[in-house]
Amino acid sequence: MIFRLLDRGLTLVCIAAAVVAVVALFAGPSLIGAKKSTPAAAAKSGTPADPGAAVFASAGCGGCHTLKAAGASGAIGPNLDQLRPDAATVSAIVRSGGGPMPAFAGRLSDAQITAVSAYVASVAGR
Amino acid sequence: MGASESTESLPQRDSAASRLLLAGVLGAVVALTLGIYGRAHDPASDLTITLGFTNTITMKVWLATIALLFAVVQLMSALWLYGRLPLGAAPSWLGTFHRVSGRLAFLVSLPVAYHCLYQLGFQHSSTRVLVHSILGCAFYGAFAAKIVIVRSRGLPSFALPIAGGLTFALLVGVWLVSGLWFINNSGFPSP
Repeated sequence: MIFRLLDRGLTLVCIAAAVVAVVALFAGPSLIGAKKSTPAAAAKSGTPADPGAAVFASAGCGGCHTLKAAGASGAIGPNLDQLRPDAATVSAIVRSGGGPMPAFAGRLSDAQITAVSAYVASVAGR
Repeated sequence: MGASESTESLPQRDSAASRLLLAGVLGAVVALTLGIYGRAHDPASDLTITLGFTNTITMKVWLATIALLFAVVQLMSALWLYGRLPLGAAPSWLGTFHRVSGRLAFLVSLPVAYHCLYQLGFQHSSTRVLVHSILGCAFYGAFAAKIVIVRSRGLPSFALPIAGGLTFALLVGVWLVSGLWFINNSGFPSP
């Protein structure tokens, strides 16, 4: 009896959750109370146009790393504001990956890696 | 009698084949739609969903692992229902229990899938990532097909076990190349 009630309730919850998930995919994460920041959003908010910042945003670096200047608060990888890596270190890690971080050499061009490395090195910890 | 049976069973067979085809097509459409969305969508750079966990990745590892455990419950209860376990006759509540565990597995998988699709999209930066992207999309396609099959009457007896087994295998595959990979690299995160 308990299982049957649970079953019926869960059926409705599953349908509702699936609908909300699909709508949120198109309407945006604010629908479910999550936050998002994209290069376009940064441009609208008046953030200076830095190609490295754009790469940082578009490559999803902020999903894993904290970098205050980019408005990123990811907590999966190292906190870049605390680490304050130089451009060469960032470039090497971005190209080849490290630990759980994947290599981005196939996804980003040399120019993009150079730009994002310079950007991170210039703003980390500030 | 034989001729009558054969003339009656032809439309039934056609109907069953049509429903199987419908399930397959629906599953393919769902999987392809998710994949196309993941490729076409501009990934978010900073999408945070924690649902009470320490951070997003912890939430994803925990919920994916919980979904996997529910899927194992699904598999074991299905085997019992089909008389494939040496536990005697299946109790009357087992069918409902099986459905509840499936719904819970689907529910806890949704936040994980949403974050993957919205934050990261369909990626191919490495073999592991590509396999994860393909299996993740295929899992929801298989799930949709299984829902159609489980709700249909008169289908061949092999249809549901194959659909359920495929759905289970895909979920296990998705977890192996993401949850287990993360746990191997970084340890199991505390909630």
